[in-house]
Parts: sequence; C-alpha cells; structure tokens
Amino acid sequence: MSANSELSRIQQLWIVIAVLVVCIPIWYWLPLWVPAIACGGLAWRACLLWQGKSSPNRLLMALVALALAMGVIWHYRPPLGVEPMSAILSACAALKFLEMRRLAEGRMLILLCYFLGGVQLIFSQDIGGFVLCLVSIAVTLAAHTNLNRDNEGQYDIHQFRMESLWQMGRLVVISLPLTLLIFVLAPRLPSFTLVPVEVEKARSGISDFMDPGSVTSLGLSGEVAFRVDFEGEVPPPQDRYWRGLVLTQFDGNAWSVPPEARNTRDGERITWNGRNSREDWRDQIELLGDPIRYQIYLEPTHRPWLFALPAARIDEPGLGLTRDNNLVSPVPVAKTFRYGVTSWPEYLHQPEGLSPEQRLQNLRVPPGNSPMSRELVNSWLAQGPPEQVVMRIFQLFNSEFTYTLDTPTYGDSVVDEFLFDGKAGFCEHFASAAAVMLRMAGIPTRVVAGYQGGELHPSQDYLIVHQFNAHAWVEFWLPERGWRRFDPTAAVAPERIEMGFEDFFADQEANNQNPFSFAGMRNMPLMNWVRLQFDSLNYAWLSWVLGYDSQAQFDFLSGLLGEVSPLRITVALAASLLSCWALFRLVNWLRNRLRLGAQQQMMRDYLKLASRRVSVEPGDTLSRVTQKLASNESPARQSWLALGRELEKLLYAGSGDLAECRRLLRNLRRQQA
Amino acid sequence: MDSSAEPLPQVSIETLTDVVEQVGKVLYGKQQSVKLALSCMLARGHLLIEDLPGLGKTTLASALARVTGLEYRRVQFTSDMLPADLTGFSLYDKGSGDFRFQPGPVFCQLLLADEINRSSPKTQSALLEAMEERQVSVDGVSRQLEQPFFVIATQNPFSLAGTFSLPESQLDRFLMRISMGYPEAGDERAILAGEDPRQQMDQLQPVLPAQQLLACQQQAAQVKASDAVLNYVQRLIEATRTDGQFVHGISPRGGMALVQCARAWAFLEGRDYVTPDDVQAVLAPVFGHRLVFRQSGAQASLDLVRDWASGIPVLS
Repeated sequence: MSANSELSRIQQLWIVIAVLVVCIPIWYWLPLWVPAIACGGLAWRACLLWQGKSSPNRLLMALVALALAMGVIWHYRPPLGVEPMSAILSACAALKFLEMRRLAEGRMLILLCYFLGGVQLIFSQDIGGFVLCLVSIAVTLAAHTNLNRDNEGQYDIHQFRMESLWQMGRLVVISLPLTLLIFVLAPRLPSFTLVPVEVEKARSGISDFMDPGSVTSLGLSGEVAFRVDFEGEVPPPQDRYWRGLVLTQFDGNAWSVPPEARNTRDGERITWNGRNSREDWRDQIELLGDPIRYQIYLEPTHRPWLFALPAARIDEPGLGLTRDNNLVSPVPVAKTFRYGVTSWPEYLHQPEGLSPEQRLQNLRVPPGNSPMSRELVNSWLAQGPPEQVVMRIFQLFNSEFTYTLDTPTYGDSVVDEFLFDGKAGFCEHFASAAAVMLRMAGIPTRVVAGYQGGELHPSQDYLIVHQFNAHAWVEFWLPERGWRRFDPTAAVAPERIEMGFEDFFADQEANNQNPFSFAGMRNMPLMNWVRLQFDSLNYAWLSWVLGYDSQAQFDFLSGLLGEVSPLRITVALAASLLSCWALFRLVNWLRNRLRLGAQQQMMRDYLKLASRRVSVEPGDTLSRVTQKLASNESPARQSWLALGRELEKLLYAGSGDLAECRRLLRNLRRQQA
Repeated sequence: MDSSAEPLPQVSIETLTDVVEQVGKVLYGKQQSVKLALSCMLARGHLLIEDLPGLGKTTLASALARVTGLEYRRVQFTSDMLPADLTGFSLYDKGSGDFRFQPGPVFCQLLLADEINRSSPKTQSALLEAMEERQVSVDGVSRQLEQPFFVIATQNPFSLAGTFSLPESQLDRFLMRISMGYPEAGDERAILAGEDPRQQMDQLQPVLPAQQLLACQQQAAQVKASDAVLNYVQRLIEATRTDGQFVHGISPRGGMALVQCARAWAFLEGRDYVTPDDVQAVLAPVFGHRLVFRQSGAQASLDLVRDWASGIPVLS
C-alpha cells in the first residue's frame, strides 16, 4: 500500500470516530463556536459525499481555515496559550476531513489524534479524564490498525465492524499493569504545573472581587472546591473557616483585593518559602495551643490563592504567605494541587499594632457612603466604647434579619438598603454591612472570602468542600488582641455554621424537585451513596496518582524496599516484570485449562511430546505424525503406533477411550524420560 | 422409480477397490485421479477435468462408464452448438401428425462434455441447468434425467482463443476439478510398450452396476464426520476468508462439498469415519476452482492449495 492509495469509506469512518472521541472531551472546555465550526466541517463533508462530489473549492477551504484562525485570535487575544492552540488543533483535525483522501493524510490525522489524546489531560486530570484518555487512545489505535489493513473490499460501509476496537481495548487494558510499573518505578519528572493553562470555563470558585450576589451565585454549585485529609481529629464545623483571600478595598458597593496586594514581588507583601525576604510575615503571628495538620487537594481554580484554616503555615518550597496571613502559589493553580498545611486555632495576629498604611486601608469607607448606617453607628458610639459595636451588630442581625439565597435586588447604596430596607441577604451582604459599620466605628476591619464547613465523607474520613460552601466573613482588629474573626452570618443563621450549608438549605432547595441538583441527589439515598463512592474514588486517584510526586515516590519505595538504591530498584523492576510475565502466563494457562476440554488438553500434551522427537508441521495430520514417529527405529515405535491408532479412534471414529489414550501417553512420556 | 422400493444392496469395499483397479488397467499410474473421479461420483457431484489433450481425460470417462455400466454419451462442444443439440427437440411426425420429442445426448447417465469452454454461454448454461436440477426443460415441458446422472466436463486451459471460460458461479456447480498431468516415467514406458488402450477398454467388465452405485452413494453419505474433523474443515474455510490471499473466501456450499467429498474418499478407503487425511486428499480438487488468488488473479492451482493448506493446523 502506498501512501498515495485512497482511503476506503470504512477507514474514513474510523478516523472520523477517532477524531470525535478524542476531541469531544477537549471541546467541552472550549468556547462553543470551536466544536460548531468543526462539526460544520464534518457535516459539509458528509453532504459532499452524499452528493457524490469531491472536496470543496480550495479557496473556500482556505477561507474557513482563516476564519478559524481569526476567531481564535479574536477570542483569546495574543499571546496565545495552550487553550487556543488546542482549539486550533482540534478544529483543524475535524476540518481536515474536507480534503482527506489519501492514506498519508489519514496517517497524519491519526498522529494528531494521539497527540490530542494527551492534550485532554491538560484540561482534566481526574479519574474520569484518565478513563476518557484511555478510551480515546484505544479508539485511535483501532482506527490506526484499520488504516494499515488492506482496504480492498472495504468500500462497502456495511462491512464496518467494531472488532478492532475490542482488540485494541484489550491491548490497552493488558498494557495497564506495565504502565503501573513504570509509573511506580520510573523517576518522576517535575509536573508541568508551570505551563500556563488559562481555561476560561475551568475558572470557578470565589474571585478577588466581591459584590452583592457573587457568593450567592456559587450557592447552587455542587462542584468540589477542594478535599481535606486531616492527620488527627477533624475540627467541628464551626471551626472550619477556610480562608482564601482578604478583601480590604471597599468602593461603596463591592469589596476587592487592593492592587498593591496583588503585587507578588519578593518581600513586599508576600514571604516566599525558600527565598530571602525583607520581611517575614510569619513573625507577626503568635501561635498558641495545639496545631492541626492536614493535606489539601485543591481542584484547579486558575487563580493563585490557596485555602487553609487560620494561622496557617506551609512548608513546601515556592509557596508564599501574605501579610494578611493568606497562602499563595506563585502560579495559578491549573491542575489538582496538593499541599500540606499546619494551622493553629489559637493565635494572635499583629497584636502589637498595624502600620499606619495598613490601618488607614482597613478603615477606609468612601465618604458620604451609607449615611443612615453612619448615623446608627454614631448613636451606638455615643452609648459606649467602639468594641461594643460588634455586639450591637450581632444583636441587630439576630433580631430582624433573614438569611436567604433569594436576596432582594439592592440599588447603589447597598449597605443602607440592606440594613434598613430589605433586611434579607446572603453571607456577603451581612459581611459587607458588618465590615462597613465596624470601619465607621473606627475599628480596622476587612472582609475574608473563602469556604466554610465541608462535608465529611462518611466512610473515608476526609472532608469535601463544595463550591456552595463559599462564604464571606469579617475580621476586625483590636489592640493587643490582634485580628479576630467575626461571622455575622452566625448571628442570623447559626445553624448554617453548625449544620453546614447543605442541611440548612436542604428544605429550601428541595422545592425545585430536580433530582439532578445537588440537594435532589442528597435526598435520594442511592444517588447520594453513588455520589460519595465516586468522590472517594476520585479522592483516591488524587492522593495516590496525582499526588505521587518524587517525594511520595521516595517514601513509597523506601517503605517497600527498605532503602532506595539503583540496585534495589533494578531488582524490584526485574522482579515485577517477571511476576507480570508469570501472571500473564498463569492466566493464559488457567484459561486454556478451563476452556479446553480434557480431550483437547490431551492432544496438546501429545503434540508437545511428539514435537520433541520429530518436527510437526501445522498441516500434518495424525496419521502423518504417527508415520514420522514410527519411521525411525526406536523402542517406542510400537507404542507410538498404538497411541496413533487409539487417538484416531478417539478423535475421528468416536469410539476411542480417552483414559486409554492418556495411559499410553503417560507410558510414552515415562519412556522418553 | 420402482428401484427405490427394494432395499439397495450393500456394497463391499472389495467391489470399489476392484473398480479402481479395473480403471487403472487402462490408465497407467493414474490411481489418484481415478479415485478422485470415483469419489466425486460417490458424492453425487459432477467433475471438471482441466488438462491438455491426450492425457487421458476421455479414457477416464469412458472407463468409468464401462465399469459402472452406465449409459454413456460423449458430446464434443463447439462454438456453433445450440442448447437443443444437447437437450433434444420436438420433431413433427408426419405419420401421427403430432410433435414427438427427440431426446438429446443429455438423456444419459454419464455425459462427457468435451471442451465445454468452446461452446457459447447459452449452451453451457443449458448443461449447467441439467447438472444442477437434474432435469431438462424443452418447449415448456420439464423432463427428469435418469438416476444416477453424472457430467464429466473437460476443458483445455491453454489454447484460450475463441473460448468462453466458465464464470466462477458456474464453476461452483462442479463438485471437483482435477487435472491428470503427465504420467510418471515408468508408467509412460508401460503405456508406450503396452497394447492399444482402446482394445483394453473393451475388456472392462461392469463391476459396479447403477443400482450398486446408488447404494454406494447412500453409504458414503453416512460416513461419520466427527467434531474434530468438522473443526478442521471450519478452520480451513475460515482461513480462506480471513487470510487475505484469496479474493473471496469459500462459500458454505463449498464447505459442504468438501465434507461430502471427504466422506466419499473415506468410504473409498474403507472407513466409516472421516479423518483429516481424507479432507486433505480432496481439498485441492474441491477448493481449487472455488478460490482465486489475489496476487495472480488466477484460480488456485492444486499444488498452491496444497501448500496453503499445509499452514492450517490440523491437530489443535
């Protein structure tokens, strides 16, 4: 077959299937117009085939390709990262069908499919993504084998068979043990976290900008934000405040991280582990009491901040701690990221005092904003010291306010409207109002965004924090006591903090009656069980596969081998390869034993014994083998002849005796030995 | 058919060996071809002999006719031959003022169709209809042929000018295709030294009359083909379909033909069960004309089929 020979219909169909299977998981992450163009190309080709025309006008095709390139540039803006490149590659793979005719083009597409199969892993590294990748590779392999098959007689589309797919699927499954071996033993390369993958759709979770409604919008998402594995006791729900980022800038409506705090230059605002910094922000925290140690498996957020309980210390090199006592990663978290944290529930943060700049920043309220609130705060201040304002706010929220996902729409003056008009809101409304009032009372205050609570996996003992656990609360500063946490939501709806979001809203949400919503799933025991099982599977995948870095490998291997030395690794590799091979042989042998009847097994033994004495060709019949065996003068001549006669009766005349044949065979074997 | 009323006589294996021996008297060293031709008859099939002139095709046919005592006709096919020349025609009888059917040469028990590929496809298909249906339709009346009815057709594969080679679908009607080949040196010598075979032919005795032949056919069909043998046959059929050497695989009819012939061969060998040796003995004649090699585009020669089959495992 030359590279110029034409592809048959079946080969083309196989390539179409491979391209679709490989590209669909990628298209899921891309803007809708990319698969639309790709599928449009496929449909166009199908139309042409149906009308019996060949490929379309070259000029037209060039225009389509140009449109695709322009679309990508317009959508993503240069510099182009991995996502736009994947968009171009996957769409081009589909568009290539418009002119695909020769074998060489088919081969090129198959190579592209293998590559795109790997690209899938950039977008999704969980176990589902891995399985999809395996399926893609199996389908591509099947298409590839069909490409190398003689294509005569394949022009009839009815000849399409799935056989090669099953064969290749088996091949992939068989190769898994070897893959596992390589995975466990081969040196771990540094992961490609540093590849900047900006995936718009993958961006989820809280942002560095909080306006009324932004946390509410996460309220219904049951997606996992991160999972936590505690070394000791799991802290009670009311202590699970996962700090993410600190919002200090208030513009009258929304809270945000001030631009200077985003500056990640060394020592300015962030102390990076393993680097010298001008100021070590760790010194500003006094840690008290017993620490809590835990591991966090953070799902990709495509943002740099990391979540942890208050007063967190992180030892992993390269990560940083901000002045506001937050953890940050130097690059956006683009794949599931594991980090170990130690936290102290008791701590004093900056008890000595704030710098003038920090103090000013945490007291700033736009002048003229929320006059009614200011009046209220002033009236409180007239009655006592500023500290008691916290208590007043607590009582205020406790008495008349409602905590709900169905928040009224507020206008420009959010705080006033919320406090004196609507009196209903979600955590961000309460946090925002509390922070504004505290600032008005002259207490430095900031809003903290993160997650609160989390679902304890019933059997696996780890915590699942969902997107709907997103929360916002307040931290205020008092002299000598430092920053204290104040969660105004706990005043309105203490159950929300104690029971967790999911139980609190279970009744409210159950009204939708949608079985596929998170609440719907929770209300059906079986669905909930499936959900939790799947989550623990994913968790195991995270901790065992994605978390298997060079350190984990070292720990694992030294636990297994005693010490990690090249000799021991070589021995272990050889031993595992040998046992793989032995296992394979054993399985084959067992299968043959079970599948073959006693008679076939006996025939197999007979042939084995016979071929030790004479050469047995596949086409040799029983009589010819017997003839060969009996031709040379040997004492066993008569026995071979007798066995041949008996076997002929057994196999062909239907009158032989299996036991007799076996006896003769055994005798012969003894004679041979 | 009154003959079916009385039970058919049992035929001993000696009778059959006698047949082979008798025919062997006129065809030196062609034991194998004689046995194949005989087993083709026992399997109720028609035979195609493909060879050069003068190698004994006609001798084989007429010798077989003689030892079986069958009514024998020979037709030399030519390009201007019409179907009626074979099947017969209705003739106006002045005396009775009626049409009378004048049967053609096909109304016999053993028909030798010499050089079948010289005639037009129309005539060929008239013969092939007779072979398949064992009846002839003339002027809208179907007439049964006698039982048993055999056709031995010959064709010359080399001088193809002005011939109409049989299409594959029609080749399939022949159970076997054999070729005689040149005799061995010793046999050649005996032929040269011996007397005229035509005189020897007259001395042949009918040792296997038609009744006995029918009985043999019935007995041959009852020869046991065990699972092991059928598995082997299936492997062979499967291999023709999958191994890519052939344009297309063997049809189920071809597979059935192989089993029938193997049974007949086993019967000739004096056994009441088939072994793979029997299958291999008849394999090339049965499969040869049903397979077309992809590479050469030609029908598989007997040797090629044998070579190919030596790669298919028998015992496994």
